[in-house]
Amino acid sequence: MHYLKSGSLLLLLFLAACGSPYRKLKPMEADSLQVLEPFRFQPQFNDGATILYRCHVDGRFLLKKFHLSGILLFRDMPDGGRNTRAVFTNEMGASLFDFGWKINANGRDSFQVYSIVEQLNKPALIKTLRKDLELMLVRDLNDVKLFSGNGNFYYRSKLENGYAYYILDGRTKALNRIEIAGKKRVASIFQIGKGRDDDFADSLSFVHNKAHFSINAKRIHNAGTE
Amino acid sequence: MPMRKLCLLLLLLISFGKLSAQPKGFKSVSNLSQFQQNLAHSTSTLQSLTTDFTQTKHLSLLSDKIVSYGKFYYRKEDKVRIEYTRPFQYLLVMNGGQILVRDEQKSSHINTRTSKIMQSVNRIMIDCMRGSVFSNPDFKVSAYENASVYLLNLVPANETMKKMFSGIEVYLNKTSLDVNKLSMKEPGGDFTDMDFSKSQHNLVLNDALFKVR
Repeated sequence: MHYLKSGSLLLLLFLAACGSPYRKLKPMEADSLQVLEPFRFQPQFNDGATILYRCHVDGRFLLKKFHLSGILLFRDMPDGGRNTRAVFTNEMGASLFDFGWKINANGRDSFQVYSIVEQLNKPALIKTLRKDLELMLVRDLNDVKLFSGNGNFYYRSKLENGYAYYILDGRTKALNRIEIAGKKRVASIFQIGKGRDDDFADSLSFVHNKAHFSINAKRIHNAGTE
Repeated sequence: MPMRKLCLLLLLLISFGKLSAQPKGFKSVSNLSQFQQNLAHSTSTLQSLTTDFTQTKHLSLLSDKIVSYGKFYYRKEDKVRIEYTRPFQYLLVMNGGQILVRDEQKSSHINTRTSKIMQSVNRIMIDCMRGSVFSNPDFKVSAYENASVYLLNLVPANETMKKMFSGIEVYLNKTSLDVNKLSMKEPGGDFTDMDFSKSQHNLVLNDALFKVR
């Protein structure tokens, strides 16, 4: 009987540990911090600047580890319509993918794959990369709600499946990280070295716990762009 | 009469097609076999080559360029080292059938026998140095010239290559027959130029430069 009690307790503790880290978040009045505040973390392009990152991708697929690297470029198109492109090339210049976002006639974001190499042309991969980049670029947020908990503020935006949380330090209100979660966290996006809230970060890290891959990118200040 | 007119029209169309395929400012090499002989002779005396390069990636729809710099080494018969130094570090060493790729974080080894794409990339690089580009089965090669430059136009001859390139242009200095520039065109319209400068011939290049293990 004693063993059963201990076992139950352990099971409860285990279940509690496995539970959603977001369950205990407390809803807050949106106005207290302004519901659109996550948009202040939207990286801004200055005068048509091209933003370059040196990128490394590490992961595991079917128990086999893989590693690839390249250059990730962000560019705001000069039409003033928040028309943004993200292009990934390998070191020798071959384009691996070219994605684009623009505001459509309904005022919402539309996404387009301009090109992608056959090896990466998998719907699940495109969806994951699109989501990562959209959240980092703060392109389009849905049904935003504000929460507090664990000494942080959480701006929650609804995704097709689950939510994205923009997690702000409770004291400084600086963006700590972005998490993608259903009942559990499935991915985190870290941005280190954002001089201002609306700067592109010096380094980016996309960590996918469920899909077992991570992307680490370090900004190359335009020395390589003419 | 209508038949004669049709033939004339077809002839005109064919001529126009040929003219439009010819790169602007260039004409077909008048004596191709002589040029091939000269190229073969020139490259037969080349034991090694060391050169700087500037790589410029042109994005067709963005009017953007990504520029990187590095050093290129070749040693007869089949050793190539491409070392990017700015604005990132990246190393590609080809030695026989083996390729070493090293970025800032990891090294990996590729056996070209198991990778058709890397085998082709390896072959293009070696062919350009050895002057054996005309015998590459992956491409149909046409040769053009102007006053100072020979231009070899490589058009992919198989589906694997067509997915990677719409064409490759190799520019050779007419006097030294050194490769001045490589232009790799992608099917989507982007292209990457590699401009070579400060070439030095037949320096002694250490084995360590071409180590793949």
